[in-house]
Amino acid sequence: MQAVYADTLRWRDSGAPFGVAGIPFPQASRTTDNRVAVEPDQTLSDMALATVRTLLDSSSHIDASTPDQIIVCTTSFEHDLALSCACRLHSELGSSRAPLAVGQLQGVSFLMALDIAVAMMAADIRLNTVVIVAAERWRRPFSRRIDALIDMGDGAAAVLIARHPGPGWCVSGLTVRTPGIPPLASEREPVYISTLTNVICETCARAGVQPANVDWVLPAPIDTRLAHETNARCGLRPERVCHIRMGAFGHFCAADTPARLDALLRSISPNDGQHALVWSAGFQGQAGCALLEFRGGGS
Amino acid sequence: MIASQENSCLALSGIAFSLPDRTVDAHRWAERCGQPSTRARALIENGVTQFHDAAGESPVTLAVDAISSLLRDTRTAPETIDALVYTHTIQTSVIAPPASTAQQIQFQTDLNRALAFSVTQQHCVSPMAAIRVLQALAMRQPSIRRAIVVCADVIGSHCDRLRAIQDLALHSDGACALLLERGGHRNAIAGLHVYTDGRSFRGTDENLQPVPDDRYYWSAFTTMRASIQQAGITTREITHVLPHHANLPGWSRLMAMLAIPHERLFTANFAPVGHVFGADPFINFQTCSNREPDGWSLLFSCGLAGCFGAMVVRH
Repeated sequence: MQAVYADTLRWRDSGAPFGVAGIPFPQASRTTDNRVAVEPDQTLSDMALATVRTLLDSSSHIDASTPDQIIVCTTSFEHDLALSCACRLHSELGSSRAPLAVGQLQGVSFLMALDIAVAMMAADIRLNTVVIVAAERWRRPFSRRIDALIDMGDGAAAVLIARHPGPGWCVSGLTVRTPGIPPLASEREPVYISTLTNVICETCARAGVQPANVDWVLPAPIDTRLAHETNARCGLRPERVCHIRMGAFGHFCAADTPARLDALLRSISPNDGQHALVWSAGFQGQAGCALLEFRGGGS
Repeated sequence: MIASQENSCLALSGIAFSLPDRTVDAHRWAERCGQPSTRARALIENGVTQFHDAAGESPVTLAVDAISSLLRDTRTAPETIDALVYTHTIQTSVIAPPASTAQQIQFQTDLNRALAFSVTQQHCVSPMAAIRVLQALAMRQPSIRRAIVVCADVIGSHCDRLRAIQDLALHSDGACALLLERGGHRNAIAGLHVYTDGRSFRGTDENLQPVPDDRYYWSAFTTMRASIQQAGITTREITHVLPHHANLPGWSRLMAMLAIPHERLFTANFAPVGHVFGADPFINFQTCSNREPDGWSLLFSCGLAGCFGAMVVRH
């Protein structure tokens, strides 16, 4: 398989330098290597399929046994050259629409997929259920360790979006930006913070919600100082920032946001009209933000 | 199904493509791969004569070249592009993860205002899937007025044998960029249907060769028929059928099923261009010189895993 990947590795290593541009993620200590989440057996699509099945089994209150649309988010490879994870899930779950994958935004891919799902449902009134599943599995010859000593972890998370009277979380606002910055901009951090600030403020403004009134804030798992500064610039209250830690270590890339969002939403008891805000970041300046409003249903 | 003709409002305003200069003929390919000369002859009998070979060049280079040509040919300023969607068929037609190929293409083409991401895993139908996504986003977000979809694929340097699809096609390396604009009067996308046959998600044998399946014809036909119905026309009004460059003999059967005269099938690029993954119908749209106003083009792609896509464009 090394030969199959020779070109893609060469393009990365000999072209414009790839680095974690614009964003100081928390650095993994070398002593924690063996604690990074590693999936030894399942393939990426195995992980995605199992996660979606778990999601659907736990969503019996919604008629989504066969979701209408499947969207996959992944950064790492399937390591099966001809296999499409999205098509495999479509085949095994019996979804009605042609599946697809959304990517190239690393940690922001999930929010881009969410934006697409909402747009598709608005455009097609017969599209009632969308499953977004994000999965990552890192295998040789691709290193788990990238610049700045970030270790990529294996994991999967899935979200069900449905037309449903509730109770549940509705998407009140969503913004994704991908600034065209150089791969390794020398003065990238100010650019990056401004992009993050813009997407958060824009999301709140479009939804008509004051940032100070957001009830729960879930920032990207980036450097604590940068996250704090971003939240402060936007007027998000520091005491409402939720520090969700996963049970395993590593950067889960596309799967990170849905996994931590799931953990947050399971840990709180919202009332009608309360808001949760999640923002995420890619390695190269990409930024996304979603504002969710809890609706108790019955209306 | 996703968007009606009135509501989708996107037009195919421009197309540009980039193919490597180097070509390799079927006999030379057979030699390179240790295949018998009868294999080359079988390919040629099916209208397959050569492919374009990037010889290890990056898909980013090809994509940037195609987008640069598109912007130049259409006199479009990069800062007016609101979205850039990268698509590819082969998993490895990207810079090694977690690097962002879309971001690199965006940066190298100065599309600094664009929202850049990828739509994939529909194999050669991914460009049409990307247009479907953009139709939905454009309907919801008035700020998306102009977008580029670029598809780029290369067969790896050490994977030459994978260029052949049975004796029916040889993959060419290349890229194609599409300019999509809201409210364009010419070349409006009137119908778009993507369909995935869930009965077979793999569709290949242990040598990564497609498994022959007669359901292909019915799925291809019904996908094209659905896009024609969505456009609100009949097959009689289709003036140009712009195929993917695989299985040329099979197109005779499909034209008969569609009841469209065979002379409306555009095949001039089939032999010289080769099968440029999802780009074929769009390259054909760009190079088909006799597209008259008020005519209708039917574009078709299909890929592994039962992926089918068809699009109807009003000239």
